[in-house]
Amino acid sequence: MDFLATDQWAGYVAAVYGISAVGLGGAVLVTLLGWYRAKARLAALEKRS
Amino acid sequence: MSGPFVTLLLRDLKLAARGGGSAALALSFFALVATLVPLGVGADLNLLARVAGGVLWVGAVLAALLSLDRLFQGDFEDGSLELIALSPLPLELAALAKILAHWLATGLALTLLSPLLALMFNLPGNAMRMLFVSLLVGTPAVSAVGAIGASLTLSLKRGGLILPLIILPLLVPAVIFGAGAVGAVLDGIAGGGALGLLAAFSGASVLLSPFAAAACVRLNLSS
Amino acid sequence: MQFLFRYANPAQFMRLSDAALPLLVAATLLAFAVGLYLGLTVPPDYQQGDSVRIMFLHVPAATAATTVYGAIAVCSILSLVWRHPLSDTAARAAAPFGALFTALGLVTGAIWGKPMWGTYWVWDARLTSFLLLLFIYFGYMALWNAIEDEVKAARAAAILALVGAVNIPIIKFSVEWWNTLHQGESIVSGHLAPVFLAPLLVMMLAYLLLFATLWTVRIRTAILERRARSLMQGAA
Repeated sequence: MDFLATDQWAGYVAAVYGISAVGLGGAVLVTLLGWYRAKARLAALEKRS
Repeated sequence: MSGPFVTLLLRDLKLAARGGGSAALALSFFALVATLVPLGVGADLNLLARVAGGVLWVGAVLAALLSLDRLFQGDFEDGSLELIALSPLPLELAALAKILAHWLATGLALTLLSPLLALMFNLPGNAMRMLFVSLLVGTPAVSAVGAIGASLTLSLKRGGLILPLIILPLLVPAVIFGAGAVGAVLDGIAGGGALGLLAAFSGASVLLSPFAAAACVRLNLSS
Repeated sequence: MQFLFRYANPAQFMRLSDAALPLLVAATLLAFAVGLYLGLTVPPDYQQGDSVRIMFLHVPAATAATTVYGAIAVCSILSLVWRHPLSDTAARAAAPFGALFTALGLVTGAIWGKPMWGTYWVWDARLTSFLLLLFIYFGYMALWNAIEDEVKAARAAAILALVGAVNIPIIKFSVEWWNTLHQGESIVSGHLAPVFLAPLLVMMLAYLLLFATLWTVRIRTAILERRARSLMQGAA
């Protein structure tokens, strides 16, 4: 794992990777949640009618 | 064609003068912003001269924005926009007339006030002249680009809130070139380059924005 | 144009995207795996040290941010000129991702600024124009949300997107002009050593693939939501 042993800027590099991971991961999560919610809602409506 | 154009222009100017006097409001706002700045940053005359171009440009843009949300809205609500759209005057020219009326009532008035404020900011004479010319050349862009925003938001009750968010980023070039021209003169460089860019931006805005504004008005009248 | 209209039909799009999504997901995961591996194993830059690794996330976010705006602009033209029915949905679905990529580009750029300039925020041309792009995205999304009539909102947003598309290059030019006036410095200066080019390109591809995947899912979500709405109206 020597590629994780970075120099004095390690903190900044880690922060950038962390923030990007949270941002992109959040986008994936929100998108998927929206998809499953819409799917469930449509299924419920179709069953009712 | 020029008959109805002038009629609409004069009508809008009359309305601007009557309805609370949007020109007077814009001028007061402009002067007030200019008064707040020394209170905020301190009364150092050298500093004030340094920031005058930028502060007065930003103040002028904000002041011109104040009355923009009513540019089409009043006519939309009372139905006269329908009549304007049905008249032989193309909607693009009607939009241009409204832009011109707005500029005369705000942009031009702000420009005429600017030397006085520049004086209070200790701006030297040649830079003051450049500020005056740059506002004269650049404020039409504010009215023109603003007209697009006004037409996009004309059906919204609270369009005045969203309008600055839409318009201000689009007006960045005007502020940069306008204040840049003043700054160049302060630095002893000719500001002609920046002024030329400002004039190009302003001219293109005035030429193109009536088409965008007319398209938005049509879409709001369509149903 | 006939070719495009075939896929404009929502049902058609659902079928097509259903087949394409697994491929998109796989490609995205693969590109991220390769890009991250390359980016973390590449030797440190002799000038920037390990902080060069920030570039592999900053630059892709920035290119994705502008690419998304391009996608919105193309959708807006399709919507205004050819009344292409799905393009409004597509434009609206893309905007939040554009704002996210812009924000990520800004934050990573600011953090990169600390090792590079010694301060988090420098009014450099790239950061400043991305800040303005973020506001443009906010305005675009606010307009969509403000107008209740969906058809009118779509047309107004499309007009705004095109006005922005004309204006953004001018804004970028003016900010660069302003920047040279005030003698700023740019993050990416000089030429890039070739070792850094491969991870950078793969990461750019990964960001664009991720956008394509999420965009597709959001358009599908919007289609389902519309179907649900019409069912509700039919029942009422």
